[in-house]
Amino acid sequence: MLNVAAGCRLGEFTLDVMFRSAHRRTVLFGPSGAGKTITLQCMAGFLVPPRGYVAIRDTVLLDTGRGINVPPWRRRIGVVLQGDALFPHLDAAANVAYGMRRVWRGREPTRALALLAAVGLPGYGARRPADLSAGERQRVALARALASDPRALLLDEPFSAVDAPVREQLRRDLIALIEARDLPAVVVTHDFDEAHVLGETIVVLVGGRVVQTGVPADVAARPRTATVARLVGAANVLRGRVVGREEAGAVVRADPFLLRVANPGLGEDQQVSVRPEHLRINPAGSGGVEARVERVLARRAGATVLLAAGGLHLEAWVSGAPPAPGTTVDVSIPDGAAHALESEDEVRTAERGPAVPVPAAR
Amino acid sequence: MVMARRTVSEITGPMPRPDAALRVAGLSGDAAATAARSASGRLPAVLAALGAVLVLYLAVPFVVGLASLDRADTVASARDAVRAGAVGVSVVTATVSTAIAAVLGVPLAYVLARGEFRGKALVAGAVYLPLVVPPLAGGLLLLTVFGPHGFLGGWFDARNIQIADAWPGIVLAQVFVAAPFLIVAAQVAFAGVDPALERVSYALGVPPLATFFRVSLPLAWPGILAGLPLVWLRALGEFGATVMLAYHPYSLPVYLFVQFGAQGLRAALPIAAVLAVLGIAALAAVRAAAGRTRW
Repeated sequence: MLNVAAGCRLGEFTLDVMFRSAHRRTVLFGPSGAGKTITLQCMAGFLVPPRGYVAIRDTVLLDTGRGINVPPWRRRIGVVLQGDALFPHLDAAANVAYGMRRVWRGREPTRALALLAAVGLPGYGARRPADLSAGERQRVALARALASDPRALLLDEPFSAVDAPVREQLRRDLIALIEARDLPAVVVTHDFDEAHVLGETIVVLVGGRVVQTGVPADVAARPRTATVARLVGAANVLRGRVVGREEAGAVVRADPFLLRVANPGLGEDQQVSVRPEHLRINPAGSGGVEARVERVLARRAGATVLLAAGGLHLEAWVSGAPPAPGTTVDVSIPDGAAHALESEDEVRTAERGPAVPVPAAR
Repeated sequence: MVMARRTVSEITGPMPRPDAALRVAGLSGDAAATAARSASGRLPAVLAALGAVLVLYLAVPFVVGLASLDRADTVASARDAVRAGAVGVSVVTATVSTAIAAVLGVPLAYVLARGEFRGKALVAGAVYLPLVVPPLAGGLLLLTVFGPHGFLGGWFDARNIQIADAWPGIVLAQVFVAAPFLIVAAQVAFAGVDPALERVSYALGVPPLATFFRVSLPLAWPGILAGLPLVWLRALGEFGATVMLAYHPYSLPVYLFVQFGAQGLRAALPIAAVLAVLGIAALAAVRAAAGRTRW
C-alpha cells in the first residue's frame, strides 16, 4: 500500500527513515523533533530528499535512484495540516472547491456542498474560516483534501488544536471516510492514544530514524527500546543483569527486583520495561519489595501512585482506593509483566540504511 | 491578551463572599456586568508626554502654514500650477511610477520573501541602494545612465526617444526613489502569508504561479495596498533625483522650487497646500479601499 524511504539533512538534524505499510491507515508516531513532519513533507513533495523513494499503491512518486520526482501539484496527495491551514480569504465552499479537477468544472458548488455534508458540515458553504470552530475548520480541510480526488491522505497532527470530545468524534469520522473511500492515509501524531485509535500500522520515529514498526497493540505490549517504552506509556524502565538463563527466557536482577523475562538479549546487561498497570501494590508485610508512597495523582479511573523502592522510582496505576502518601507498601512485578528491551545503540545500528554520506536537502 | 499580574486575593487578602465583594467594589446587579477595562489602557505619563511633543511638532507647521494662506491667492496659484501642467505631470507620473514599481516590485518582493537562492542577500541589499544615497546623488547616478551622454542615453537618443528632461525621465527618477518602499511593504506582506497555505495549494494540484495569484497575492494584498499610497506620495513628492534627470517638464516639487526661487514664500506656499491635499486624498482613498478587503 505504502512504501517510503527518505534520507536528508536539515541543519543539525539527519533524517534516515524507511518503512512500508500494508494497511490503509498508517501512523507516524514519535516525540516532537523525531522527523515525523519532515517525512510527511517528503511524501507530499514539499521537501525533496537527496535520497528517497515514495510509492503509494503502484504509483512511484519519488525515486531519486531513477531520477523520478513528481512535483507536489501532480502527486494528487491530500494534506490536512496542523492547526489552521484553510484559505482565510475564501468561504468554506470555495475552500473545498479550490482544488477540484477539470472534470468538475461548472459543478463545483454542488460537489463542494456535498463534500461538506459528507464531513458533517451540511449548510456550512458560506461560512468563513474565521467563523468556524477548530474542529469545523479541520472538517473543511478534510473535505478540501477529498475534493481534489487524492490517491492518499496525509494528516499532520490534524486534531491537536481540537477539544477532546470533538477530537474523538473527528477520529471516528476520519476512519469511516478512509474506509469508505479506500484511501491510504498517513497520520502524524505524538499522542499514543491517537496513534492507537487511528493506526493499523504504527511507525515509531525517534531522532530521525524508524525504531519500530508494527500494529499498535504489539508496539504497546512489546516496545523495542526504553525510549519507545516511555512513549507508549510503559513508564517503568529498569536496568538489570542476567543472573540465570532458562528455556523460556532469563532471570534478570534489577535491584531490588528479581524478574523473569521472555526474549532477553544475548548480553549480560538487560533493560526491561513494566507498564504501570502491571505493578501490584499490596499492604506492607504481605511479601514483595518494600516501597514508599511518594505521591498520589488522580486519574480518570483510579490513581497514579509514584513509589520509591530502593533507588528506583516507579509508577503504578491503581483502580481502587490508593495508599496514602508517605506510607510504606509492598510492590511486586508478576511474571510476564517485565518486557525485555533492546539497547538504543543496537537498534540504531540495525536500522541504519547503507552507509552513504547524506547530502543536505534541497 | 492582557494578563493579570496579581490575583485578586493577593491584592485584597482573603476573598469575601461574592455578594459582599461586589458590595465592597460598589457593584451590584447590572453594574457588575459592564465591560472590563484592559490594564494596558493605563499608560505611563512620560511616554504619552514624549509622544505629544512629536505630534505637536508634526502638526503645527500644517496648521500655521495653511492658516497663513490667502484664499484668493491660493486659488490663483493652484490654477497657475495646473496651467503650467505641473499638477497633471505630477499626478500622472506618480501614478505611472507606482504602477511600474508594483508590477515589477511585487514579484521581486515575493521572490525575496519566499525564495532560497545564492546571492539572495546581494539582491536584498541592492533593493536598499536608492535609500543609501540622497535623491540628489541618485539623480546624478541616473544621469550617468540615462543622461544625453550616458550609458544608455546614447542608445535612446539614436532612436529619438527622449529620456532626460522629459516625462520618462521624471518616471525613472520617481521609480528609482520610491520602488524600495513598495518592495519592503510587499515583502513584509508576503512574509505574513503562512507558507503552509501555499503548500496546501500545491497539494491540491495548483502549480506555483497559479498559487501565487490565487493564494499568496490575495492574502498579501491588504499589506501591499497599504504601502501603495506611501509609494505614490514618495513619487509625487520626488524632487532630488527628478531635478537632476528631468528639470523639465515641471513636476509639482520642481515647480514649487522654481516658484519659491522666483517669487518667494507667498507664491510657493499654495503649491505646498496642493501637494498636501493630494496626499491626504490618496491616503483616504486607500483607507476606504482597504476597509472593503477585510475578511
